[in-house]
Amino acid sequence: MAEIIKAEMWDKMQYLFRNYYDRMVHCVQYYDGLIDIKVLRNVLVFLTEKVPVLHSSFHGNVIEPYWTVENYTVDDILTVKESTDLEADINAFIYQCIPVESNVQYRMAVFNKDGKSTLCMIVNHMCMDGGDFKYFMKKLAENYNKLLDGDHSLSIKTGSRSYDAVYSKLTPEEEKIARGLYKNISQVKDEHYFPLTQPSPYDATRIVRRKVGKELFASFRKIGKVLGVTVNDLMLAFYVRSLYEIGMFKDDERLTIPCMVDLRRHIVDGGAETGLTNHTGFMQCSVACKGETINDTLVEVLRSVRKSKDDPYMGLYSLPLLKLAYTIFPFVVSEQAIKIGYLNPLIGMSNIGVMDDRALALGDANIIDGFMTGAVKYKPYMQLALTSLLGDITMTIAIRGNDEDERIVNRFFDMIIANMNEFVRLNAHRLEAK
Amino acid sequence: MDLKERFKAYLEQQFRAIAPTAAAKDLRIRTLKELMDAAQDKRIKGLEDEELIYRLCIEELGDFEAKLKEFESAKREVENKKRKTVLGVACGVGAAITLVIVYLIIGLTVKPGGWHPGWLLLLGGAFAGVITVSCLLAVKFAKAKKFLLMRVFPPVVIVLVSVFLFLLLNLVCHVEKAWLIFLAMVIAIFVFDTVLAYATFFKFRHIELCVAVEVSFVMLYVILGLTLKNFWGMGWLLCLAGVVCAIVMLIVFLAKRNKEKDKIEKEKLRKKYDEEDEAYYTMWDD
Repeated sequence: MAEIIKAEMWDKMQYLFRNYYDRMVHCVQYYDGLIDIKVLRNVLVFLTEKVPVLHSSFHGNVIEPYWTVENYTVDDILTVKESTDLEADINAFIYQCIPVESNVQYRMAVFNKDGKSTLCMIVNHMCMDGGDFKYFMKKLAENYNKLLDGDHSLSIKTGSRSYDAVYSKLTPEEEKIARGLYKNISQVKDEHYFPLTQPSPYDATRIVRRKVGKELFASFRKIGKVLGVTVNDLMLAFYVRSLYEIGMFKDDERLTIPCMVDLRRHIVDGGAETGLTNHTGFMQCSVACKGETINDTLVEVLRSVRKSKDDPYMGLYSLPLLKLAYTIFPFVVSEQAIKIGYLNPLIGMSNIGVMDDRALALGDANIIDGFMTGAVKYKPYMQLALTSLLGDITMTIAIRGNDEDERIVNRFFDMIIANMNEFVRLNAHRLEAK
Repeated sequence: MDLKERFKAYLEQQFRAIAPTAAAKDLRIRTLKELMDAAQDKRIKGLEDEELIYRLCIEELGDFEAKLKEFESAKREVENKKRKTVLGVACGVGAAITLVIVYLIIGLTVKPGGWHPGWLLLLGGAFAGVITVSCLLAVKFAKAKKFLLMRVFPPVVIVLVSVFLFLLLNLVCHVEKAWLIFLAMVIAIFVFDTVLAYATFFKFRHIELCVAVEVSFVMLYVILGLTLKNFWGMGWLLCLAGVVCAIVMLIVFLAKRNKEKDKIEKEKLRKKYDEEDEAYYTMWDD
């Protein structure tokens, strides 16, 4: 009889999100050398064997959904190709969507061109979020390097996938409070939307990306350090201001956008012992007005973000409400109930964070570029994802749209870059003074 | 050394931790087969590194030392579950046949009226069967700590007992107002369920107690109204008494809870404002 794995709360939630996006998380890593495919194949089987949910199919049973562990071979996961048009091959690969019924829930491709390899991976968001995806890619590289050196002590975390690991670092008293946070934070109504074209059957998946540039990133990061603000705060300010501009919102209109938060901050050892899963919440960033200058926008952003940062339960709101809905109702009813109560944010931001270049090296092949991004959103939803690598930031917006939408997104990136430059220009004296 | 020999060597070494019995030998052979099957699966999946296959298969055994200890200390019980089930079924069937025979004897010998209330025997037997199964299931769910499921069964038992009692009183003893049992049944269901709610620390037990009190008072009002003369007029005060009783209980619960919380808060405040430590002069968050 097939082995059954319980569908955890976040598996069900991500399954519900199929109505808003394609449920895939994407990663592309460019290397300056070739990847040893034989070693990679062995590592992939090891990782897949250790994490059963990666080779399971999901069944949306009306009462209680579950995963069934499936048979597979490494060829179901890995594709290797000598590429002539690298970007076209990468895009064709990462634009795929893995159905929940598939026997494997992640796919990887290696494209070789001019003696260099590019590693691409897509994974079902129901299996893991950006935080664990970063961990997975690091572990892949670590295990690959070990095996290459003849060390067979490979490892990957295999703990619980339950959502309530987020309470593990809290004191019993705090946990009691956190388990009572039934407030529905998705209900903050913000009707601002990103000005994409109307949905059409001809829309196609696009992951539009733009690099900020090392020099510009270093400049505003330095200024941020002087001012005592994080890169995340700065990016939120650039993003918010650019949204006012592209959306042509009134300067005194309140704009609220959710920013994804890694809930592993509440887990013992930052979730080093839990299983691969989702632990993402969000904090609301609500600015009352655009402000005269980018510095004013930053002040507005900080005013909102400070409130969230001072809250010891940041990101933990609504989890008990979701748990209650999935506990008392059969799945089919709870999905409908949550759909009614949950307002998917029209605009969002997710800072996936730093991709550690040294940890991602595969043998002699060093990573020279790369990015990670979230799911491909369906119009009118959109989200800006950020990853930094080798001193540069890659901004990505993954949408289903047409050429015009791609032009709009590129124009939006131009605006963000312009705001970054403006910020550097306005605050250059601070660097000199320092 | 090939993989099979390595697995054998590993198992021989591991099994030295327990007594060399025939059962241990069987387990060792079975485990080797499982390991070989797992290794074959890994190869099919695409794993080529023999060392990695070996390690993965051994890791999949989990805490093997603990498993062996558990195997050794496990109680060897005779596998009689099936036989016990057969015996239980035989007893049930035997009881059913006996009841049918007794019913036939009474029906044929006692005249008149042998057949008519006699069928209560068959019904009683069927009810007893359902009650037995309900009790067994309730115990099973209680052991599994599935208390909400467990609480489904006592009302079934109470309903069946009430129905049978009513039929007995009405048909055999000819008690005129035997149907009052059904009103008492509602009280019994609520009271019993509330007792279970408290016994199992049900989250909403206090609320359930208030509901049970109110329902009991209302039912009592109806019972007394139907049995006593001129009770309807002033009797409705009984319902109000139920409401008052429920409110008083709620207030008592809240006061008790507040007192407990106050005590905790007081202790916190005392620690925060009255306890002194030189280290607080220089302590910072960062």
